[in-house]
Amino acid sequence: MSKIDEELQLLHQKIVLCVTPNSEDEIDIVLSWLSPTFQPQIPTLRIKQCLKVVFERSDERARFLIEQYYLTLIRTHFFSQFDAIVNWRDMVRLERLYLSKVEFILGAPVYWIQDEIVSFKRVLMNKNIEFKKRLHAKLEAHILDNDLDRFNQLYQWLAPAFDGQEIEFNAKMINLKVDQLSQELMKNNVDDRYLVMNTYNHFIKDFWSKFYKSLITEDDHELTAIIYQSFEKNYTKYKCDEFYTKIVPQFPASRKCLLELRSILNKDIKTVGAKVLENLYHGFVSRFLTSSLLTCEILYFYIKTVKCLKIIDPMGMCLRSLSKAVRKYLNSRPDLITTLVLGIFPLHHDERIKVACVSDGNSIHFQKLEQFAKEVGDFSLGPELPTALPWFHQPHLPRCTYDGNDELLKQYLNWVPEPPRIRLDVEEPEDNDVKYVPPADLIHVLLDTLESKRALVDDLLSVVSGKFIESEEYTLDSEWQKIMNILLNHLEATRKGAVTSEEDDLTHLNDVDIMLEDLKLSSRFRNQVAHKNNAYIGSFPHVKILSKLYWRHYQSLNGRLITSKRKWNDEMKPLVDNLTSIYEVLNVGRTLKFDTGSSSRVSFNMILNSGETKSFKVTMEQYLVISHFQSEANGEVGQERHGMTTMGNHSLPDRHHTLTSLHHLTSIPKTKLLTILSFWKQKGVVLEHPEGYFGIKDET
Amino acid sequence: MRIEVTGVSLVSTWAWDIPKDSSNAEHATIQPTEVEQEEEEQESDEDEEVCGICRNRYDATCPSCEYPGSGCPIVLGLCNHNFHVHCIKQWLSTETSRGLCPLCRQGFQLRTSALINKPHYEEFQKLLMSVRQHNIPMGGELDQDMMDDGFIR
Repeated sequence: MSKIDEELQLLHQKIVLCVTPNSEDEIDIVLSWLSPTFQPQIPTLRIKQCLKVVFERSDERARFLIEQYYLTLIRTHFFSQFDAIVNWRDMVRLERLYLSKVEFILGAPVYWIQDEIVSFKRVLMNKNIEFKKRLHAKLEAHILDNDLDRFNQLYQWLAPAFDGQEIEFNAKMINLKVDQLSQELMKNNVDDRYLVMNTYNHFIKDFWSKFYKSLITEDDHELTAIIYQSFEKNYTKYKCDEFYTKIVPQFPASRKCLLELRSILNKDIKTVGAKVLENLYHGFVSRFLTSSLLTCEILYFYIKTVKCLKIIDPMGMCLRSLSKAVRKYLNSRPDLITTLVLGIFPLHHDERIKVACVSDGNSIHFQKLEQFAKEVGDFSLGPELPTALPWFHQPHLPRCTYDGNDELLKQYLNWVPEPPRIRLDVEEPEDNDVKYVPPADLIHVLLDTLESKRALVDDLLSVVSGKFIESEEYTLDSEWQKIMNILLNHLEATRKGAVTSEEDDLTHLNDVDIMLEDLKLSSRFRNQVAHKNNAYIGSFPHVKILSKLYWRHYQSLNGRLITSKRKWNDEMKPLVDNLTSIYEVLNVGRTLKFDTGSSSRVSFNMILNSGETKSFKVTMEQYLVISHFQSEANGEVGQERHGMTTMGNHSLPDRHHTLTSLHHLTSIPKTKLLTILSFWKQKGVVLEHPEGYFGIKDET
Repeated sequence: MRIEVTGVSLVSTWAWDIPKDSSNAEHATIQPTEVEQEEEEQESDEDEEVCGICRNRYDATCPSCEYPGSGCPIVLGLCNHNFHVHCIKQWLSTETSRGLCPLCRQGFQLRTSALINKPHYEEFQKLLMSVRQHNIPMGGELDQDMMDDGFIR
């Protein structure tokens, strides 16, 4: 016999002694019925009669003993079932069973049985892990499904058994809802602004208004403030995760999102902000500074990242470290300069191919380069941000005004606090004391990727000088002028010592000065020529006279100066002779050496024998070659006028030429001649005969 | 087929008009082969046409000038040594120059026939005169030699 059985037997005997004699049978029947396992649960007529007899004959003590007997029975039953109770419904069933007999005897549940049931729930929650887990899962499911009525029902059932753990539980439920809403409304959303506020409002409207009534007695503003911060924290976390997958690629569409992130980070820049920026730095390094990406791809993502960082990190804390890392990584890549040049300049596709071919352009991916060039765009870092202290510029707001001359007082009144000095862990300690000025535009960002700017500025000047030469006027078009201005600003800053200068930078500056002076003098010369109203020159207004040494356009890869010496044709010769003589008169001791190469351009109409007219704008060399194919009548006029023999020595018809005859006429090397003839063949003007000579297509 | 030119955009570089020596002219009559001509395209400007003092090219500036050309002209010496005006003036105004060419130590004179020297002729006459005056009290063999060489006229 177990202890419980002994105890039950003892209680049985005590009850028998307390109740009026001759009721033993009734007592036995009643006590047997009280057992939770007794069937049927609903008392029969006999049991009801026995209950009536027993309770009529029993006093207070007897009733107390019956209660004790019943408690022992249900405790025994409860603990025998303990491991089998895994669902909330199991416990609810037992609760009903235990209460039902008491209700039948006393008409209503009494405190002792209620307390006992609460104790059972408490034990279950503390000791039955499976039950606890399933119950929590059920509550969480109701929360997540927004089924707050069922949640409330379950919560009220469980509440008395919390045993001081309700705060922890409530916090868990709130966090769950906050996380759920954050995930639903904030994650993958980079287009909307005020996302944190809207999500919070959604939380308050749909959840909190019902939730707090069931859990908390009054609306706690401190708690709601903490909930708002939780939303901000979640927002920061999501946006950090999405920074390189969504925010950076979708910029500028993601600008609103960045502005919101910035406002959150600004609240605690020293801890949260610094941590986030550090994560972003490591994210960029691990994601983009890898050998699997092309230089133009790295630069493309770098530019996009800088644009984004400029918003959330206006002080350049992360950018400073990032530029160092990018510089260190990219400077080992041989195609960096070429990629930068191709990306910075608004070159046409064929010009890009030319630049890429000059250097080692094998690793250039033109489609990705195009993407990078497009991103560099107008060099701006996007629209200006509002000032750090917007109220400072609000005239309608009350502020101290002072119109006096006391500089010290003025300075005091206009004082603006310095931004906090934050240092990321990623920074190297030796650089911490150097004052860092965040870049103002993308050209500075790109120049910053180079250990030495000399090579890039060299290339930059070379391309700009080429553009100046190609330009119809003495100025550049607006797009190129912008680049020129940026270049000048950089060089000026070098002259003033505002940026780290190299010896070569001053040479560059001098070159640019001379280039601009040349163009000014050329323009003046053109006006002087126009003033003389020369018959030959009247219709040919554009002459550029350059100081060859300072125009990188004339320098070959090994630094030598390149010149082209070709023979003029009968039409061009008087023009250049006249220009030269005027120049020599105006500039004693100096003469002109016209470039017959690719720099000089000629526009002309080609009138074919069929009557068709074609217009061309070509280089001087291309013009000189094709001009020798003019029909005989034209050639004769030229010969008579200038007394020159042009084609008379050849056995071929006048309008046909071999490579040798063209070489004699133009002094252009044969390899170059072939290129030029191939150009005209492509244009459908020149035809190569099987006999080895060339002629005009429509006349053959 | 005929061509009607509608517009020309000419690019030219300026150069000092230095008369060629007769030896150079003879050399010019020899026709270069085509390969040589290709090479010449790149090398013709690589001749040692540099100022004998600052070693900068004639069409570059001397160290004290900003803009080449009329801003920093050159002069041709009778001894076939050419200099930037500012370089040779600075040299001639030193006591150690004694009015001599810094390269060949002959009395420095401008080539009167060269058009390039025309704007500077008078100025140099004055300068050389003052150098002469400065050198007379010093006496010595060298001054006599200079007079004999025709440096002082």
